Amino acid sequence: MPKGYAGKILWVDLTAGSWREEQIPEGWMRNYIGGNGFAARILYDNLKPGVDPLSPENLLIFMTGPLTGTLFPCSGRWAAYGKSPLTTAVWGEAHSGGYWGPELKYAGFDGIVFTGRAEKPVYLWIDDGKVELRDAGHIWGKDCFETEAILKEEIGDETIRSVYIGPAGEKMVLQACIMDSLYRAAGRCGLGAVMGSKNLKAIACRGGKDITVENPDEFYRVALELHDKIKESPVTGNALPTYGTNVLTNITNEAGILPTFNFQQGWHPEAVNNSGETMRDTILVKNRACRFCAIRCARFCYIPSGPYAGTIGEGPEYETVWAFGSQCGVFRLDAIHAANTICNKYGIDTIEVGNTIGWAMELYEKGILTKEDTDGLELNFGNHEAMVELTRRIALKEGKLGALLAEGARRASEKIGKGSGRLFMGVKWLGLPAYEPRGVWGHALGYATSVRGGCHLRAYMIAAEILGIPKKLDPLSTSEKAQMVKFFQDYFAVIDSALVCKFVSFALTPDDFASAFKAAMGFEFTGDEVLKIGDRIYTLERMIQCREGIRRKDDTLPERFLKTPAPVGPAQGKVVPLEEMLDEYYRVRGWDVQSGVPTPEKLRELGLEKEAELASTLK
Amino acid sequence: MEAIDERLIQFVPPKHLLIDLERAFHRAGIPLESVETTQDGWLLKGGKGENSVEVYLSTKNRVVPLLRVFGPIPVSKLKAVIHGTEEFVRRFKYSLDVSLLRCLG
Repeated sequence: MPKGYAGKILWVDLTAGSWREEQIPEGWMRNYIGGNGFAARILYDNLKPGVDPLSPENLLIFMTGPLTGTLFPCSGRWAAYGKSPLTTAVWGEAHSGGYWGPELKYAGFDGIVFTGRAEKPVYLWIDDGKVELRDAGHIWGKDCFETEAILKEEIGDETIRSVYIGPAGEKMVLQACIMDSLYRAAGRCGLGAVMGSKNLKAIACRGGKDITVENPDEFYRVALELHDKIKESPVTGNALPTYGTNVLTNITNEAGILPTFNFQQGWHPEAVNNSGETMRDTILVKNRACRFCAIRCARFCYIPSGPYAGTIGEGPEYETVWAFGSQCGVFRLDAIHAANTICNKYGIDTIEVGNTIGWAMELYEKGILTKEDTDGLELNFGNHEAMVELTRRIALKEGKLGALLAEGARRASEKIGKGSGRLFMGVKWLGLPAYEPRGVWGHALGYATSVRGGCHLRAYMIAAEILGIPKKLDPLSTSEKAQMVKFFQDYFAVIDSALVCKFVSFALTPDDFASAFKAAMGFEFTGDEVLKIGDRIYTLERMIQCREGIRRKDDTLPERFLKTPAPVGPAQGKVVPLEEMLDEYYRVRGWDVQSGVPTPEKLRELGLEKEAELASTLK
Repeated sequence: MEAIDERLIQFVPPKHLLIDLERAFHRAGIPLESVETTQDGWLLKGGKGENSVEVYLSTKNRVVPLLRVFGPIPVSKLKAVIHGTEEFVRRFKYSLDVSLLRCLG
C-alpha cells in the first residue's frame, strides 16, 4: 500500500450501532489522492440520487489526506462531506483547520463514513484504533465550549481531539457547522445539521500510530524547502502573521469589492474601523495557529469595555468581519467579535448567518419584512444590537424570525414571498462570501461555477485580479478568466484532497505538490498530473450535481450583479458579463456548452467510464 | 512563428520564479541552455531544433498602492519570446501557466 495513509476508512452504521473497517482501494490513492477525491468517489458510488439530506439515507463523511498530519506545511486539516440540506448544489463540503484531522489518522483511520441515524444521541470515541459508540444524552443540548470540556473530562485526557456540533446542529439549523478545538469550523453547506439529523453529537479521537512516508529523507528535504518558501513569501511569511486574514478589508474596500449593505455596493468610508490594522491595534491579544502551522493567521481577541465587554475567543476572520460588518452595515469590531463568538458557541457558519442577516436587513428596509415579522427587532442596516441578537436567535431557532431564517434563505424566501428570494445574494442558495462580483469578473465566474454553490474557495480569483498571483489580470475584463478559473478549481481540488491548508498555495506550485506526493506516497507525479487529478475530482463532483438535475441554468449569479450596475468604486456602471465567460469556461473544461454537463469524451479522458455512460443519457 | 508572452507577477520572490522557469523549459521539452544575469534581472535561453525561447525576468521590490499594507513586495515583469511551431508555442505558454501556478485560499 502507498505510504502517507493510515490505510483504512471506518464505516459506521448509526441505525444498527455497528461499524466496519475497509481498506482504501489502491487505485483511489493514485487517482483521487484523499479528501475531496475519496469523498466524491464514495458519494457518487453510495449516495442514492434524490434522498432528503436530513434523512438517514444521506451520508456524512469525514476525511483527511495523505499529507495530513505529516511534516508538510500547514497539514492539520480535515473536511466533512454529504448532500447539503442548505443548498441546491447537492455536493456539500466544508473544511476546517484545528487539531482533529491528524489525530484521526494517528488513531488509525483516513476517514469515517456515517450512514443511518442513531436512535438516541451518541458520540463516537476512537482510541488508537479501538472504536466505541457512546451515549451522548448528557451532552446533547450543551454548547460547543461545554462539549469540548465535558469530553476531555469524561475521557480523562486533556490531549484528546474532538469535533462536535452545538445546539444549532442538534436543532438542524441549516447554517449549522461542525466545530473543532473551540474555534475552528467546517462551516459551509449546513453539514452540522446533517450531523444533528443523525443524532451524532461528537467524534473524539486519541491516537499514537505513526504515519510513514515512502522516502523519509526526501520527504524531510522537500518539507523543509516548502517551509522556507512559505516563510519567504510576503503574504504567508509576513502579512498573515501580522494582520491575519483580515489584512484584506482595506484592500477590498479600496478596490470597490467589499460587499456592503447586502451587496448593494462595494465600498464604505467607515470600513477601516473593521480592518486588520484596526484589529491589531485594538482587540488583538495574540496570534494562534492550527496544528503544524507556522503561519499563525488566527487571532485571539478580547473586548475589554462597552456593550460587548468580556467577549473573548478566537477570530473573527476576514469573511466573518465582512459578514457581520459591512454586509450588515456594522462598522465596529466589538459587535462583530460578539456575533462571531455566538457562532462558535452554538456552532453556526459565520458567512451564511451574516449574509442572511444582511439579506433580512434589506428586506426590512424595503418593507418586505415588518417589525411584526422580526419579533420587534428594528432590523435596519447598522443596528449592531439587532444583528448580534438575531445571530443568537437563528442559532437557537428562537422567535418567529430566528426560526424562519434558521431554515436557510431558500425555504425562508418561499415563506416570505414578495420577490424576497431575488434579493438573497447566493449561488445555488449558498450565501456568497466577502467579494463583490461586479468588480472582479473572474471571481464572479468562480462563484457561478463553484461546485458547492456561492463559494470563494474553489477558484480564488482575487489572487489574480487583485493581488497579481500567478499573474495580474484586469478584474474588469473577461480575457483569460475561464482558463484561470479552471486552473484554480483543479489545483484546489488536489489541495483539498491532500488536505492541507490552501494558504500554502500562495507559495507552492503543482510541481511542489508533485514532489511531496512522490516522497510521501512513492508514486511518480508531475505538476501536469496533479492538475489532471484535480480535473478528475472536480468533474466527478460535477457529475454528482448533474445526476440530480444541476445544469448550466443553475450556474448563475443573483440578478443584481447581472442587471444593476455597480453604484460606486472602480466597477461603477458595470455588471458581470457572465454568459460570455460561461461559454468559454465550459469549452475549456470539456463540458457541453449548452447543458453544462461533462461530455462523455471528457469523462473517458479522465478515466471516468461509468460516469461517461450516465452523461450520455443526460441532456 | 514567433509569439510573445508577457505577464506581471506580484509577491513571488525571484529566486522562486527562476526555479519555476527552469521547470517550464523542462516541461515544454527543451533544455535550459543558459541563465544570464542582466542589469535589471535575468535572461534565460533554451532551444531544441527549430524551437527556441528567450525569457526576460526583471524584479523590483516596491510598494503597490492598493497593496500598501504589505509594504514593498517583489513585482516581476516576465517576457517570453517564443520561436517555433504553432504547437510548440502553445505548449510553452501552457508550460509557463502550470509552472508558475500559485494562488491563495
